[in-house]
Amino acid sequence: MIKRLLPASLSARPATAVQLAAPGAFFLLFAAVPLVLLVAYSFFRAGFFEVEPALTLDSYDQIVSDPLYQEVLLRTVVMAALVATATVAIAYPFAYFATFAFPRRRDLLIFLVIASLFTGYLVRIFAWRTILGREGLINSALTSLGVVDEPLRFLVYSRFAVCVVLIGILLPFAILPIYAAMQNVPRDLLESSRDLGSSRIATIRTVILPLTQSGAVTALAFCFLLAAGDYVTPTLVGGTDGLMVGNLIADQFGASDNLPLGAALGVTVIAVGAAFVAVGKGVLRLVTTC
Amino acid sequence: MLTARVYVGAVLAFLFLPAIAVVALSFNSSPRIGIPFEGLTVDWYDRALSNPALGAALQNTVTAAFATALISGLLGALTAFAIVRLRPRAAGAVTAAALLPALVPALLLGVALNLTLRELGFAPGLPAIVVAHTLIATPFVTLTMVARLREFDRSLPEAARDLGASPLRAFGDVTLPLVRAALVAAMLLAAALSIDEFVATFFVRGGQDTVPTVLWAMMRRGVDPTVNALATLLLAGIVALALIASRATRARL
Repeated sequence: MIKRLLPASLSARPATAVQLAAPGAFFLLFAAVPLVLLVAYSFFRAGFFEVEPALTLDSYDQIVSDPLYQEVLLRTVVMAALVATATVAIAYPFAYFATFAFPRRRDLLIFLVIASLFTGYLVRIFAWRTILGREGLINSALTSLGVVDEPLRFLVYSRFAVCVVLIGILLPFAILPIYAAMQNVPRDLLESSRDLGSSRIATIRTVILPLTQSGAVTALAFCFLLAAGDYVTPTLVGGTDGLMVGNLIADQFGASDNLPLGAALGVTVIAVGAAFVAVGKGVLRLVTTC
Repeated sequence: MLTARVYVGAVLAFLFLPAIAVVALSFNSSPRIGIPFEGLTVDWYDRALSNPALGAALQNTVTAAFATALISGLLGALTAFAIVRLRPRAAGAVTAAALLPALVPALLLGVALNLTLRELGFAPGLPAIVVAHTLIATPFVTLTMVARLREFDRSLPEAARDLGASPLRAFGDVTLPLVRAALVAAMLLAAALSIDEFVATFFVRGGQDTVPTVLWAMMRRGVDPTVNALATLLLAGIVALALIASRATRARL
């Protein structure tokens, strides 16, 4: 009887802490420690046979001074920014239509978007190569219809191919957070905006966009980080032109075996991603307040 | 309205075109990829299944999927039960921490784990693969379970306790049967993620193969229709698990 008089949250607390011990220990050991180690390694010195624990900016120096790394990093940032922006721009109307144009079908539409995530990551990238390839679906259709005489070369093994494939891979990651944010937009707010004479576009800009801003920023962040960190897509459809920083990172942990440099490249990707999100947030705020 | 319909249809087509192409081409008798189709065949499946590396890879993939489902199911459920019981602010902090691994690109998780294994002197291999998959799958299990537990009527186990059941008995007889379907669905989802995982696996696998790493080796060699067959089989495995999972969520036992 006395036990039941205690507030539930008070008696639950020690049990909750015990409960969180196992997942907490797992993530501390296998996620937090490795990521801290990754940051630490980026400041270590790469010796000939082993890594020396030291505090040096050698690896970052190498990234900043080597023209190859500069070029690949710059290309990665430009392509990831382009891909993230395009993906969010394509996802936004989809989430909008699913929520407001087809309210009865929206569960089905979102189910399909989630289902597409389960069509295999490697499988989808490889499939795009057979679709975009020199003798692929698009080129063979175009040549047999007589639209073009020769297969279009830029379709595969190019930066164009990397962008198309990344957008295809990342669309669900952009649609889901934007869609989730749109569910919180009160309907009567839209109606009053329309009643007061706003055009459809003005309503989107002044009502829906500000209320779904957090979803759009989340989508932008997801897409930028995942695009900048992808190495499978550039490897399979990028050719020599489409090399991205993910390839360099993978290489440092494989054939080149320069762990501090690989770690520094990884930390750089995350730092650039954070900067990109900050800029994206600012731009969105500007659009919605003007 | 028409614009909306065309737009939504186009986006969905863009999302599903790759999978449809792979499945269709895996039955195309011509080794040349493209249209028109020349005829139907299952030869590519014969060839894909005769790949000598596939047996061990399949065994590893199934083992990793089972282990990942069990461990991430346990860790995710523990986290979710804690989150719904905590006060909003603490719950928010725990949720953010639990979802953090999902925000880090798999490439960086993979190389960070690779470093840790070297540092601790552990050999890469199947256990390391399971750890990587569990890291990636657990946030999804946690999210699914939190969603289910939020609509769970907590007065039911409380009633059982009032009627004299021990905490363990109340959990086993009342709570567990009510959340079992959601937990099973979340674990199947974790298994599907594990079967599909390639990026992090690549850096912790040691010499071990999984079905995606075999697929990767074949893809790098060039455009070969056997890849379509193996990819279709992998796809079938993932889709089957995801479908059973979505059934289980709706069943609400």
